[in-house]
Amino acid sequence: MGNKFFFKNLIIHVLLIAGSTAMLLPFYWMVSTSLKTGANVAKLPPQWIPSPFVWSNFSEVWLKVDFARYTLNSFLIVTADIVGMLLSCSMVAFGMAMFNFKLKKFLYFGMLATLMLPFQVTMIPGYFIWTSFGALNTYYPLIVPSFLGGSFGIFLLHQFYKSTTKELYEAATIDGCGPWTVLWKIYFPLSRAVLSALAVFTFMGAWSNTIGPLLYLQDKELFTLPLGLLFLRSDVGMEQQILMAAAVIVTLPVVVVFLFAQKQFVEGIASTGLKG
Amino acid sequence: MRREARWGYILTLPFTVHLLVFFAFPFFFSLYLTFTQWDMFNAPAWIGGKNWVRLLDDRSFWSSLRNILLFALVFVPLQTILALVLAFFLNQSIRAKSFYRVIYFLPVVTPWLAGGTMWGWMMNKTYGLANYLLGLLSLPPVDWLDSKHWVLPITSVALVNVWKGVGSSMIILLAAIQGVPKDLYEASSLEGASRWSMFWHIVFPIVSPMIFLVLILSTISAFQAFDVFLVMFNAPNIVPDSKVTPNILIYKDAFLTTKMGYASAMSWALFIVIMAVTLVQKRFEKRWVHYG
Amino acid sequence: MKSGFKLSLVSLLAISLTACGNNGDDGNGNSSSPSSSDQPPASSAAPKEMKLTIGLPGAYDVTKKEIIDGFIAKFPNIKTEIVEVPWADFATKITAEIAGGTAPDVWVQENAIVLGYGIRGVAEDLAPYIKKDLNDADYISGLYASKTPDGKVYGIPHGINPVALAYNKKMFADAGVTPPTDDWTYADMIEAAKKLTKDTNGDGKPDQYGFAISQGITQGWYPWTRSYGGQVLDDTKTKAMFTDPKSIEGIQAWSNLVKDGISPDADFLKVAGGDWKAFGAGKVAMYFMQYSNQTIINKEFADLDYDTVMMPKSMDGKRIVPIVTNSWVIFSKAKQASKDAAWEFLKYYLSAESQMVLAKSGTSIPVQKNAITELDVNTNPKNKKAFSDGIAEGGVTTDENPSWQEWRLAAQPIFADIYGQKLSPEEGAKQIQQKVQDILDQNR
Repeated sequence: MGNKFFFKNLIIHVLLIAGSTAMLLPFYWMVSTSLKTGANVAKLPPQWIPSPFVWSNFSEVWLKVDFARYTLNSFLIVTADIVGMLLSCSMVAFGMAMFNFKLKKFLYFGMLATLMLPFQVTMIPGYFIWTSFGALNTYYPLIVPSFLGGSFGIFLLHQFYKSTTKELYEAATIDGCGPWTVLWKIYFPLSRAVLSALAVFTFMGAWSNTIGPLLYLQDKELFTLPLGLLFLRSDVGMEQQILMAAAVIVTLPVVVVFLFAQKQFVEGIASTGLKG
Repeated sequence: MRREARWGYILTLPFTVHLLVFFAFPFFFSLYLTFTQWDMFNAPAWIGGKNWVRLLDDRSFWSSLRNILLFALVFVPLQTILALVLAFFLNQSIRAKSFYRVIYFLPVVTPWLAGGTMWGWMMNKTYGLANYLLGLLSLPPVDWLDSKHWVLPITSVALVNVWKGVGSSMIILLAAIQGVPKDLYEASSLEGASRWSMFWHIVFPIVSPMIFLVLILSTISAFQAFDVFLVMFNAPNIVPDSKVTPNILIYKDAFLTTKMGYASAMSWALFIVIMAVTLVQKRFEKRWVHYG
Repeated sequence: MKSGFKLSLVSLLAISLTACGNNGDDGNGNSSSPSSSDQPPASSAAPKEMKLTIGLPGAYDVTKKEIIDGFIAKFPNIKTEIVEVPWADFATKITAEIAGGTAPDVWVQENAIVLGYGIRGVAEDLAPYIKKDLNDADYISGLYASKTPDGKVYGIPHGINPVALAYNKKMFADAGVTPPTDDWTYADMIEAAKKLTKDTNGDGKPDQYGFAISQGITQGWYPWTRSYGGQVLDDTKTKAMFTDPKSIEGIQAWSNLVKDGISPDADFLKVAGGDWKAFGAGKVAMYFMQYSNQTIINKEFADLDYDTVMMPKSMDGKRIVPIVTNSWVIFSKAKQASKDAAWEFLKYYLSAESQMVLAKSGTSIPVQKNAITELDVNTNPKNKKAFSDGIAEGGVTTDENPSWQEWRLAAQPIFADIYGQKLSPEEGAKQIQQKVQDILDQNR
C-alpha cells in the first residue's frame, strides 16, 4: 500500500501545484508591478522580477492619503460589521432552521430576493432611505444593516444548522434550557468553522467596500482606506504601479485574516452529535 | 401562538426589520419604476407597459440573456466541482495544506485590475501565453476574447471567473467538511474504502446542504456578472452586444444615460429569470440534499 | 393573529424609522450641507454670509488647491465646504445625489454630461450670470463650450483639453525622416508613418510603428472622419452622418492604418498599456495626444524627447482639432444664496489670477486670453502653441449634444470592430448610422 499511496499523493501534489501557478500569477504580478518603475510596467515580454526595485510607489501612496486615520476608520467599521453579522445571522438562521412558523417561507425567499435584484436599481432607493433618516456623513449606513442580518450569512448558517441532527437539539433542550441558551451555549460554539468563514467574507466585504463609503461619507476625516485609495486613480491614464501598490496594501490584511481563520478548519472536530 | 412559532418570530426579528426597512422600498419602488420613465431628477412619468414592450424586442437585452445563460452554464458547475475537489483534498492530512488553502484563496482577494490585466495578457491573441503554448504544440492560435462568435469569448470569461471565485466556494465547503466526524474517516479507511467511496458515501451527504448553498449563490452571482466582463474586454462601460451582460446594460441605462425606468424593467426581467432558475434548483433540493 | 402580527410590524417599522432618524441627526448635527439645511434663503443684506459646497471629483489633482485656497481667503464671508470624490467614481455618487437633492452647489463634470443636465433641468442656466458679469473679449470662444442652440449656457469650462500631433524626435532622427510641421496633411503624416514602421528584430512582425491610432472618439475616429470631409452628426446635431461617402472614406483611412500595419492593433496596445504608454516607451513614433496626457508622460517617461505640432490639415486645407472640456455646473436646486456664492466662485475661477494657475499646471488650457500666453514652454512638449493655436484655428467639440453619451456608447463597440478588421467600414458605418439615428430620434 505504501508505494501506491505515495504515488497517489504525488499526483495530487503535482496537480495542486500546477493549479497554484494559475491562481498565484495575477497576485504575483500585482506585487511585482507595485515595485516597478512606470516605464517598466508595460514591457513585453513582461518583466517578471522588477529591475530596478522601487519602493517609492508605496511611499507615494503613503504620502497621498491620510493612511493612519483611514485605516483606523476602516477597522472600526469592519469590527462592528463582523460582530453584528456573526450575532444577527446566527440568531436569524437558528430561528429559520429550527422553528416552524408561517412567515418562514417568506423570509427564505426574501433572503434570496435581496441578492437577486441588481444593485444598480436598489442603490438609489437605498440612498433615499438613509437620506430620510438624516444619516448622510455618518457610519450608520455602513454598520446598522450588519446588525440586522445579511442574506449570505443567514443562508450559510441556516444550511449548517439544518445539517445537524434533531437528536442534538432534543438532547440540548432536555435539561430545560430554552432555545436562547441552546443557541448561544451549544450551537454558536459548534458552528465555529462556519462562523470563521462568515467572518472572513464579512471582513472582505466590509474592508474593500468602496461604494457605501463613497455614497454616504462626505468629510475626509471619515473616509475609509479603500475609499481614500480610490483617489489614486487620476483622470488621465492609469499609473498601474501606484494602483498596484495600493492594491497590495488593501489585500494584505485580508490574507492575514484568512490565515488565522483557516486554522479553524481543523479536520474532524469532535463528533458532537453531528450527523454521520 | 405556539411556543415554537413564537421563537421563530423572535429570533428572525432582525432580518424581518431588515427586509421591511431596507428592502421593501427598493423592491416595490423599482417595480413601480418599470412602468415609468425616470431621469432621476424630475418626477417619474407613468408610461404604462411601454418599457416592457420595448424589452420584448430589444436585441441587446436578449443577447445579454443568452450570454449570461451560457456563462452560468459554464461557470457554476465548473466552479462548484473544482471547489468541492479542492475542499476534499485540502481537508485531509496532506502536506502543506494551509499553504495550498491560502494560494487557492488568493484570487478572491486579488483585485480585478490585476487579474484582468494578467488574464487579458494570457488570452491575448497575438502576444498571449495561451496561444504561445498552443504554438509549441503546433496548434493554431485561438482568439480567446475577441472571436467574432460569441461562444468563445463568453466561455473564456467564465473560466476567468472560476479562477476568481473557486476560492470562496472552497472555503464554504471546507468549513462544511469540518462536520464530518474524524472517526468516520478512520473507520472507513480501516475498511479499505477508496478515496472515491469515502467522498461519495461519507463526505458528500454531510456537505450537501452547503453544496446546495454554493450552487444557489453562484448561480445568482453568475447572472449578475459585471466586473469580469468589463475587465476582460478592456472596455470600461462599452461592450459590444455579442459580449454584453444584463447588468452592464442596466448600469449603462441607470448611470450613464439616466434612463432608470428602462433600467428597472431590465432588472425586473433579470430578477424573474434568476428567481425561476432558483425555484427549479430549489425543487430538486429534496432529491439530493441531506438535512439532519 | 395574522393581522395582529402585521400591525406589530408596522409599528415596529415606525419605531425603527424614528429611532434611526434621531441617531442620524445626532451624528450629523454640525455638518449639514447647504442644500439640505433648513435655513431660509439669505436675503439681499449687504456683506452677506453665504454657504457653498464645492464638489471636487479627482480632488486637488484635477482642480488646483491654490485656486480653491485663494477663493476661500478672498471671500471669508462665504463658508466654503469641499467635498472630495474620486474621479472615476464621481458619476455614481453624483447620480444618487442629484436624485436625492443632496448634490453640491457647484461641481465639475464632462461637458457632454453637463449638456444632458441642461435638458433635465439639473444645471442652472448661466447665460444671465455671464451676461451680467463677464466681458466676452477677455475669453476665447471655448468659454461657451456648454452653450445650446437656444442660447442657454449650462456650464463654465474647467479647462480645455485639445488634441495635437505628438512625435518622438529621436525616432524621426534615427529613421532620417523630416519631422512634422504645422503644414502637414493627413497624407504627409501617413507617408512618414510608413517610413517609421520597422521590424527591428527580424521576427516578421513590426515592433516599431509609425503611428498609434486610437479606437476612441476624440483622438480616433472623430478627427479622421471630419478631416476627410465627412461628418459625424450634422450641424443641427439631430442627424447622423456616418454613411456619407466622405465619412466612410475617413473611417476607411482610419482603419486602414491598422490593416496596413502602420499602426499597432488593439492586441498590441492592450499589452503595451495604451497609446500614450506605447508612445512613451518609444514603440510608436507619433500619436494624437491630448493636452492632459503630458503630465503623466513627463512623469513616467522623463527622458522621452518629444514635441507636438498642430493636428494635420485635412485634404481641403481645413484643420479639425477635437477639444474635450470638463465644465463647472451649478445645481438648479441649490438655494439662491448658494447659487450666488457658486457664481462668485466661478467668477474667481475665470479671473486672470486663477487662470494663470491653471495655465501653469499643464492639465488643461484656460479660456482666459491672457492666461493662454502663460503656458509652460519649458517642459515637454515645448511647442504648446500646437494646442492653443490649434483650438483657435479648428477647435471643435466631438459633436456634443445632450444625448452624446448615449450615441457614443452605441457607436463605440462597432467602431472597435471596424478597427479590429472584423467589419468593413461600409457595413460598420451602416450599423452605426442606424443605432445613432435611433438614439437621436428618441431624444428629440
